[in-house]
Amino acid sequence: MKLSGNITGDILSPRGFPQATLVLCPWQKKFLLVLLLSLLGLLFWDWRSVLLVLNILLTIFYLTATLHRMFIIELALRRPREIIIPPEKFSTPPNGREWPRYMVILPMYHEGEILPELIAGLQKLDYPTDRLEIRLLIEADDEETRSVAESLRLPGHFKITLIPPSQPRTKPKACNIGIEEGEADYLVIYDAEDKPEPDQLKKAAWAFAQSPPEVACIQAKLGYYNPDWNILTRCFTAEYATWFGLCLPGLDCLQSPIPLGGTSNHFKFDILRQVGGWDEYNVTEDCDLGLRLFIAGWRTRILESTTWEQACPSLPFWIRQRSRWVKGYIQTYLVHTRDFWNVHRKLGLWNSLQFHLFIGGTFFSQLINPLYWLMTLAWIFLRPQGLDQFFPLPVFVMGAFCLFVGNFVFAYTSGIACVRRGVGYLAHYALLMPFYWMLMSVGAWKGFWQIISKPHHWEKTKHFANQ
Amino acid sequence: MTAATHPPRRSWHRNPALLALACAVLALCLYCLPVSSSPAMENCSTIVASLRNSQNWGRQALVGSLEYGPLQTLFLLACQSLGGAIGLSAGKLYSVICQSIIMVTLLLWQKNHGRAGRGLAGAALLLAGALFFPPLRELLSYAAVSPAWLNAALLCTLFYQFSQWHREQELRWLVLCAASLSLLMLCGSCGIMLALGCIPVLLREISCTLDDHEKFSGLPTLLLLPAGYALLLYFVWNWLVLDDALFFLRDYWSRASSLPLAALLHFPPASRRLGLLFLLLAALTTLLCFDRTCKAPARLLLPLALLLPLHFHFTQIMQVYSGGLPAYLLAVLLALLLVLNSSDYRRRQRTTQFLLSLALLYCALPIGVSACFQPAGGAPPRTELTAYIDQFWPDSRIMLYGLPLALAYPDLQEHRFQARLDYQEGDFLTQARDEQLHLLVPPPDGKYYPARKSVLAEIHAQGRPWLFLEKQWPGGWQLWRCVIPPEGESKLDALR
Repeated sequence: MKLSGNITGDILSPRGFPQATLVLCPWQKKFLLVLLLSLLGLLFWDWRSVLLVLNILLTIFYLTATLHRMFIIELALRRPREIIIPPEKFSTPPNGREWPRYMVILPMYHEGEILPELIAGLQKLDYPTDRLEIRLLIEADDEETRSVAESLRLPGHFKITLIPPSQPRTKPKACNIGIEEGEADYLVIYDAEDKPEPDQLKKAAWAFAQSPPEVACIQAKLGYYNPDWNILTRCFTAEYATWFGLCLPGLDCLQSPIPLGGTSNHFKFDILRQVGGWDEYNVTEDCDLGLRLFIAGWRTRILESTTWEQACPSLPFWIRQRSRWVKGYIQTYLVHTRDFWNVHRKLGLWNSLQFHLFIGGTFFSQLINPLYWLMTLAWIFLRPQGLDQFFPLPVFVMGAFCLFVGNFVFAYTSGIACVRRGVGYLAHYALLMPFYWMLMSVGAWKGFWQIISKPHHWEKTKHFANQ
Repeated sequence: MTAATHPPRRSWHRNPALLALACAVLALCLYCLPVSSSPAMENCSTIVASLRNSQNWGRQALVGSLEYGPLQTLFLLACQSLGGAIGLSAGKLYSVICQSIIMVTLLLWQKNHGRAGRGLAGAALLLAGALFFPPLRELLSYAAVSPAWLNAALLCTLFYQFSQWHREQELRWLVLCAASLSLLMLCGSCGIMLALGCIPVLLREISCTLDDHEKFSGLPTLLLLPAGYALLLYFVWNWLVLDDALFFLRDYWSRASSLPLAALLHFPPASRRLGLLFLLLAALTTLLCFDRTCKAPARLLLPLALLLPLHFHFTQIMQVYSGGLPAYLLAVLLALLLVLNSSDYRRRQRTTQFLLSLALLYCALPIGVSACFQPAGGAPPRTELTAYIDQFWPDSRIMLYGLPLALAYPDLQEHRFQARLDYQEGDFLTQARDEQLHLLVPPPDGKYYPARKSVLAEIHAQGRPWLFLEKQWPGGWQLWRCVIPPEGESKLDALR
């Protein structure tokens, strides 16, 4: 089954579903142009009123995002819905006869240094090797990784798949090519530095067996094994714990579309192929796939099992990674709003709200945060005349709530997530989260700039050798 | 069987929609009871009205007063906005919402933690007491409309959440405890005192848990972070609104430091009775701390039994609003609830508990009226003041400093009376150059401002070179006129 190239001839949907080949479709271009021109015209005509209206809209957005976050955190704490599989089940397969066939794919590029460790980790997976196939997806021109892989004595269930060089050179393209051939019941994708819990495949197999037939994807939780390397990794761990420990489980409770994490997504293999695999043009292909599955009627659940990854300890590389994520979220948002009415009709009102707040809201807030931080600092320290006119009482009340309560809630949830994730000693780093948010905004603006300048450029996350 | 296939059935008391509905029905019933507003609620309403009119002193009172905490004022503001739209009394709505929360929470506690078969008896006893026992009814009706009900409601939810945490040790309950603590912190001096009293008990419970499970590390941080943040907000808000981060502490500090030692040891009758009550409450709570089933919640009541009378005594002698009465009512109620549900069947202990409960009830009854808050009085009537001034200085503005004075002469348009909580001499003089000003100074009896270490006490005693004493009332009230002429009104202006 072909999962790459242009099959339909349509530049916007080369494989039959909307892809991020172009950043904006024609109507989006026109809409944004008209919006910008109207805004400029209105600013020229009556800048005070326009700024007031913009401020009201942004304050309402902040308030909604804050209340939404509080709501899903409360849900995650009150009604945890993660699938928990007790270890006593691992002795027998779900159907009582044999374990389902599992395919593990590992896209890698210049990962020769950590490959031996990766192989050793994968060999610890507790799954019958005759039902398991592990595919190392290596770019054909990546001599470094290829030579290391070939030099290792790989067991029989490991297979090296070479990805021929072609554009775009992205991870999802490699994954798509990697699964064009072969058969399996389930498939999981891991990153090169991942350390999944050994029983994760068995847990996922049981979770699929117990779930309703519409569940096509199981997302395992992601955590970091190196939180103590530096302050950045500590904050990053707290952020990840919030995302995977509270936000996604909260969305799971609402049975809303879940933006998949980059790795440890377990799929029903045939359904993954049926929906077209990953969008090779999207730099957060996982988020896009989660949405596409939901729109197609499939559901995603969260599994109580952790894959340990490496938190990026270097600020420049961290910003690169963040810029890619934000760029990908923007791509995903724009791709899914191309068919504006249809996507809302399919999602329904409630899930549309989740989509806008979680996908759109995530990158949008990171982009506009610096503006409001500057305005708050100006208000506190300079007390400029005339700022009051943009904050009539109701707006001031909402803004003050977001400033004094909202920001604290966002920071505090990191502390809750750390405790819940078993790294409670990091809870007090919640106090540093506002500084971490500033870094996130730097990454977000870089990503925003890249969506204009290099929309398909893949900012690869560098993985560091263990200290 | 996992959550994937069969999500667990939720019983009625875990359904937030049903609980909200129960609260609403209860609130409606309570709203229909004939109760009158208290002076404290009137004062709080005046602050809210001032806020709604964007008056500076309203903003200052919102953040700079420990008598009426920011959360109480904001909650009343919300009730006014909600209730005003449908023609309900804001103060009454405020109180019944809090009372409903308390009653539903107690019901939940009884359901989840009480002994089977005793809940109905307890509820019947309380209802009979409230309806047919006149002193208790009087007490309840007195306390019906008060801003301090919010403290009691938060304390009650904290009690319930703490009991849940103790039993289930689910993180959610600890987070909710932390949230309740932080909200209490924003309820003025009484709320701060209640929160500070509860924190050691909660920390002790966590440390007991920590011994067993290392995975719970970080819980003290989670508990203390919101409360610490709420306290920090006082400093930030005071700095933003009053340019003085410590302003909210200054009035209490001046009043406390100007009290002679003899005053500390002088117990007014209300304090004495309340002290006796709390001794009984402390004795009963201590006894309950040894009970197998309710020792954890009883431990939470113990610091309250010790701190509430102290707070009440200090606020009485400092002549400020205490706001502890509903919390005290609740503490009595919770102690009785624990007695009702205690499991210790040793005869002597049961008898002691029973006797203490009876004594507690007996002492509790007359407290209501005597412990009520009496606002500072004796101020000259507004019309008398303005009529006097208008004889010679029509339209002169009267400046008022301090919260009690601002509450005594509310003027939403600030045509005749202009209030501030902070005395800024520079600002006064600047304003005096623009318009004719008068200054009203109450007697230095500690009611309106600290009797010593206060600028107003100094003015009362010595005046200022640019103030002329126009009138002094027999009670010691003084009306000073600023003699700096507004620009353009003095005949000497030409010589400048």
